[in-house]
Amino acid sequence: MSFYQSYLGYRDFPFAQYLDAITESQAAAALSKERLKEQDLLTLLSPQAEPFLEDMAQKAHRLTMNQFGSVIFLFTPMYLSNFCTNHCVYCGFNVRNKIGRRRLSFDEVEKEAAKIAETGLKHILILTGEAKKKAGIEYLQGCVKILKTYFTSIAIEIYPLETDEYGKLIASGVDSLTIFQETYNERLYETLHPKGPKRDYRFRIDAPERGCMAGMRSVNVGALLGLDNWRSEAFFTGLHAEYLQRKYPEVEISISLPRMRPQVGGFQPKFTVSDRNLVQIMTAFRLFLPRAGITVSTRESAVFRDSILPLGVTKMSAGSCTSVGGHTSKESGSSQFEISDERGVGEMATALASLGFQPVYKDWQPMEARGDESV
Amino acid sequence: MKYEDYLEIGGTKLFSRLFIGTGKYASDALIPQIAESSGSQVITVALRRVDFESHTENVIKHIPKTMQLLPNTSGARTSDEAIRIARLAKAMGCGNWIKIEVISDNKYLLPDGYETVKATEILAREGFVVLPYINPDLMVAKQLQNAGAAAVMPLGAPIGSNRGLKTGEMIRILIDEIDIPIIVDAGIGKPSQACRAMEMGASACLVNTAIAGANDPVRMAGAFADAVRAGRSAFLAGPGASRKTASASSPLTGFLDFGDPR
Amino acid sequence: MRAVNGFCTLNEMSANPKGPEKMVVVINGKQEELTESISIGAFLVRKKLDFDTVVIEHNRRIINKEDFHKFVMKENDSLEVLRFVGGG
Repeated sequence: MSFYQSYLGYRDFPFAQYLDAITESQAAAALSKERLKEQDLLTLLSPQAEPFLEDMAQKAHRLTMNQFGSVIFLFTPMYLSNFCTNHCVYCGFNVRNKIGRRRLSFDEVEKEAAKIAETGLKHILILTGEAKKKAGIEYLQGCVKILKTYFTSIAIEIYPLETDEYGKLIASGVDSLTIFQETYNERLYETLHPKGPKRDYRFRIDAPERGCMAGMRSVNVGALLGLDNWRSEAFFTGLHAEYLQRKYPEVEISISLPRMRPQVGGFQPKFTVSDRNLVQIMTAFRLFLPRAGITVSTRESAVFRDSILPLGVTKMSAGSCTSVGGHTSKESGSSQFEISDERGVGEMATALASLGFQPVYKDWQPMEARGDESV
Repeated sequence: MKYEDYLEIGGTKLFSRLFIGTGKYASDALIPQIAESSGSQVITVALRRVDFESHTENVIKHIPKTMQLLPNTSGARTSDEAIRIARLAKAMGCGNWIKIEVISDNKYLLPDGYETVKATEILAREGFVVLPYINPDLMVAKQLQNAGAAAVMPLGAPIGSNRGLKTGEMIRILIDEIDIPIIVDAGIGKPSQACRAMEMGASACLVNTAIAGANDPVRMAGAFADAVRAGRSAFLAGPGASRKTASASSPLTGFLDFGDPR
Repeated sequence: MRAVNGFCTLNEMSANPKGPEKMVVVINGKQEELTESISIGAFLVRKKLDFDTVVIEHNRRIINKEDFHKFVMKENDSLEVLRFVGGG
């Protein structure tokens, strides 16, 4: 059994027709339910639910306050390597893009980590492109070994791995996994990934589950909004999160809502996702899965991020840099995408506090001293 | 085409979602009338030693042949004892359904989830149709589901207390999270409580004490049958939206109206 | 016929001229004295119990109805005779 089976159940679903036929009273009914089913999520993502956006926001806010309080966790991404063998048409790291390619040496990883740690952050997200020869498991294990002396939670956002490979990284000190399906539309996925290992849709869609099986404490899924119609993408994201949450109740499941941003290569997304749309996705998702986290990255502007805080955000990146070694070096190679919110950690914390939220840098710390674990 | 609502357990289609018991009746002779007025298809019995001095007629003689027998393992305090009783009950030749009741608490008669899971694992593998009786514990219910139980029977309140759905919230969680049928057992004291359980989405209710202890048990059995049917219909009909006006001290989406920068 | 698991078959019984003396067995948890060796089936008949309404455990083994006559009680045997009763 895999989420792919659930996806197949909806792959040829007539979304456009179905969404068209939804009535406002159906939207109102979905909004007032205590426990939402799949159809309710889709209903709340429909155009007919838009008039109820304020109601959805109020309910989402109440649910978030009950489940998470006023706490927002902060983390920062660290790009370790932008070498990549994939040809993803929408990504700045596409192998065909002529950009400066870099991979951090362990020394550089240490320097970057120290710099980030100065801000007080304890949770880090490490990213790489997909180039196993440059940044394979052993390299990653080496980096994690260094990083865990600075950070108490290490998340990875890299190419999909096998279960035992996730297991190796977990043994080294990784506890969280982020991996976006980019688009859940299987046919579109093929055209967006013309070449390279990332072309394997099935392998990627099963990766979050493999992470759960291997023992990740938290798993984050999402779709890159703009590639396909955001209504169906948000729906599949919700389904994927619900599937994982139901099957692996011991894992903290969260979603991200990355919106396409300008990047090298100039790919233009086919669909626009307005701020209003994003708010609808976020609140619909919060109502569908009250206990799942919502992460918002620095793709979004400072003003927008501040405005959506009460609507269900649980985790935010701060002091971000999407170029390799960007925290320490100016000649850091090209960025994956343009950042919008450029606030540093300190600034972020102050802003959060002024808005009535408590920024938290540390959620947990591993109990065992993992320094001597054989890797 | 008329839509038929039935509950399928162990390959048997049940059109009545009221299960009844045979305990605590003033006289076993009431049982056929109770069976008829309840419309039930499933009836529980217990297994006990024969009293050679004064053996009363076998309770089975009073049970309509069309009913599915559901022997329980009452008396068992451990999984081993429950397994032993289950095998004995099966040897009677009246089917392979078994209600696992493992109780070592004589004050409240609350079941032992751990022993129940152990017994279920073994009996399910032996081909029994296992219906375990438990506290409404989600983790225990998941283990039972994995072990091959045909349904899960969470208590509404302690046996014989007739206090209704004290564990309502927890049963609701089971209904949401567990895939196999949820049959509320124990504690249902009034037809309205059975109705509420069905409205919440329970698959069936088992009622014994409330019927046996009524002034007019035959009539009460009929009342429970009506209540279970009403609750089930209500659940299938799907209650409409209860309009709640959002008490907005300050709007949360006002910022969207200041022009979309995108 | 060979003895099966310590039980005596009827043929073996008749082959032994001495036969068993009075013997003590445990039936439904209570000690009882049997004046003669007797098969389970015969015991049930004596107690006026319908075979279809009871289940039998002989020395912790469930005995099928068809085999009631095959098993003869020996000294210190334990027999459980059970039936369905009212229960919730």
